[in-house]
Amino acid sequence: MTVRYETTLWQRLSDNGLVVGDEPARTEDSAPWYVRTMLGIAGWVGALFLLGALFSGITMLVDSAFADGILGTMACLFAIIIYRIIRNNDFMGQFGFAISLAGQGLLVFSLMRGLQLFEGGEAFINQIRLLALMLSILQTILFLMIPNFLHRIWSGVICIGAITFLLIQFGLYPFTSTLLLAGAAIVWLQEFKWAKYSAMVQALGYSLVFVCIAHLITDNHVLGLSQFWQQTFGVRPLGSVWGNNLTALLSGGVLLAVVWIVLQRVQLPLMSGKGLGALLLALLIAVVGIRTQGITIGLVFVLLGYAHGNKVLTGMGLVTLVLFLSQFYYQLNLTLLQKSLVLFFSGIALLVVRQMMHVFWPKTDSNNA
Amino acid sequence: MRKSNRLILLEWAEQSRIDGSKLPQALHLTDAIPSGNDWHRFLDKLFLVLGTLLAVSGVIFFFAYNWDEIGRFSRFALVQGLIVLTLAGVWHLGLEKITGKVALLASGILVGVLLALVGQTYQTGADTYELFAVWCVLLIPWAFLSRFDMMWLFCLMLLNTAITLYYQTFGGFFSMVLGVEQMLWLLFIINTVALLVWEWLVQSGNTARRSVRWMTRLLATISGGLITTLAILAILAYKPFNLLPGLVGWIIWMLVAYHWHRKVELDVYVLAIGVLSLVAVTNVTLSRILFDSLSLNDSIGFLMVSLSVIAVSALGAVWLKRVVSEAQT
Repeated sequence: MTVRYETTLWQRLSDNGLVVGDEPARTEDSAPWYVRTMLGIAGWVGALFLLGALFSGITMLVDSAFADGILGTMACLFAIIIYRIIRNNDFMGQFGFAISLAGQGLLVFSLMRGLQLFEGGEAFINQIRLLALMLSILQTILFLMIPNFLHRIWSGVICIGAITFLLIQFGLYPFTSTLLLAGAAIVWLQEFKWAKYSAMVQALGYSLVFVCIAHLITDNHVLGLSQFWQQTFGVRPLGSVWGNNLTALLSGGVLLAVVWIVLQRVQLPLMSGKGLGALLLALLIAVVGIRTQGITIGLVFVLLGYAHGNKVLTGMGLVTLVLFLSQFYYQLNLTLLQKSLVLFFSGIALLVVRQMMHVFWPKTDSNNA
Repeated sequence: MRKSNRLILLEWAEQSRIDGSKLPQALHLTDAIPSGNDWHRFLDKLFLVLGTLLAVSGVIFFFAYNWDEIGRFSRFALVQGLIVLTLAGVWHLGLEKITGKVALLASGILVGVLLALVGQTYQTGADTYELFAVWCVLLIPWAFLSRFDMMWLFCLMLLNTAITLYYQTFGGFFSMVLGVEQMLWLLFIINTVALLVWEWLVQSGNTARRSVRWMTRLLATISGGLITTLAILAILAYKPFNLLPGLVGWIIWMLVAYHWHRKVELDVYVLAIGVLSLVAVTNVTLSRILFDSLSLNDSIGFLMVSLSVIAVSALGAVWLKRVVSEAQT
């Protein structure tokens, strides 16, 4: 007779007095992350075609922003009903996802027409801001109302993206990346404390991580630092040149705080040799990260992921870390020689730390911290 | 491919089946979160790989700087000295240890720096693809010697880069003969052979390799992505002669992937790649039929393709979840 893995796990917890009663019934969503990703990609493609059908069909017959808005709202409501009433059905889940995305597309299109965004004009920037505000409200409602992980990730990313855009507009750029990092760190560190709302917390945590990485990439590789915001929206970076250094330093502060909390969780005294060593190393990386914030941010995700046994988050952090090491090449305020020295000696320092770790923190069978 | 202990426990906590105050203890008991030894192992590897990567990047940047004040002799002495130094490290540490393997990989990367330096100093006029091809050839014996997965992966990356650069260089001249499809076919064949060799090694009883699932998944993603692109290009081509190889290749890939990763060495990730590929190819075919052959109205055509994408992906998800469920018992 074969026994489910969950049954064995439940029995183990029960034997240790951590749970009582029968094993809980299996939940509907037992798919690994890659199956969810596959569904997400297919859902987006399905939604694009559905949106194409709606635009080329109904909206051509009824040429009105109001009608588009009503149709979009109805599609979103229909998606909420599908997700809340029909569970355990993959086809309806995918259909609901596509309907929701197509509905959101229609709603945004109607808002853009209603706000006369296609016509430009002086009020263009304010209208864009209003659209972002509406989008963030819409996505918050969908995030709370639709109990589906994939959809929550979508809503979370769009909502946080829109809020970040608004924060930039209110003059908080370039501190937005640090705010996103701090937000992600808080959410992930509270994951176990807020376990009652685990599905929402995880979706929110991943959304913050996605937007934070996207913010970094667009900032450094696509939009060219603050030029885009300055030229298009007239937003001046807060703190000018010092703002960039200060936000990177604050990200370093987040890294130090994460290391501090992780040390406390593994019950390692902060004033012990190991504790001080870990904090000093974090400080060193935070200083190196002043020039490339991505290194600090990547490392924060690696630590958060590993501390919580989350391989996906750890992997995302590692990819960010390696990706932003290459960003060093594009730093215009340092010569290649200076960059090479920083990289080389940072690498050597890490290798030395590793050797020291073997001396001062030898691996033992009963190593708990 | 089963759910992690962390996710299972969080799910039970969400259902209030585990008391919130007991959750940290439950997470520790089931090894859902790392112990002191786990942290030690993790940091050890992280510092080793990251430290080596940073140091080698520093060397690459140094030679990219092309410092005039350093003469030719000094430059060669520096890079060759570093190669000797890392090889001495390999000799000292031995190739059984991860540190020795990483030192050999660092040495291998420095060989590329040396080749680039030769090109930079003597202006050999060689094309860029030649640098990567020669670099790859030189590293293959070291890859055999080290039996290090990362070294093989690095060689494969060099080979892929060399081929892509070759087609970029000669794309204009040989465009009649050597188009983008030929390049994709060549890349597909090379990466698929690498995948088959890897799976053969896994099957031949190497338990350490069996646990390295990321290698299978990475190679399967590249190989599957290339053959799916070739199949789509074949469907979109208007000549029947072009249709056959891409589609036949795709069907064979799908059948082999299904048989191997469902019946022999279960890997739901590869099966999910297969489902996504199936969604793409069936719907490109459907679009071609609806819009080209039947000249259907746009809105009806889009709606049908949309429903087809949703149906095929949902059916795929049902099947994948069933496979996961079977594997969990």
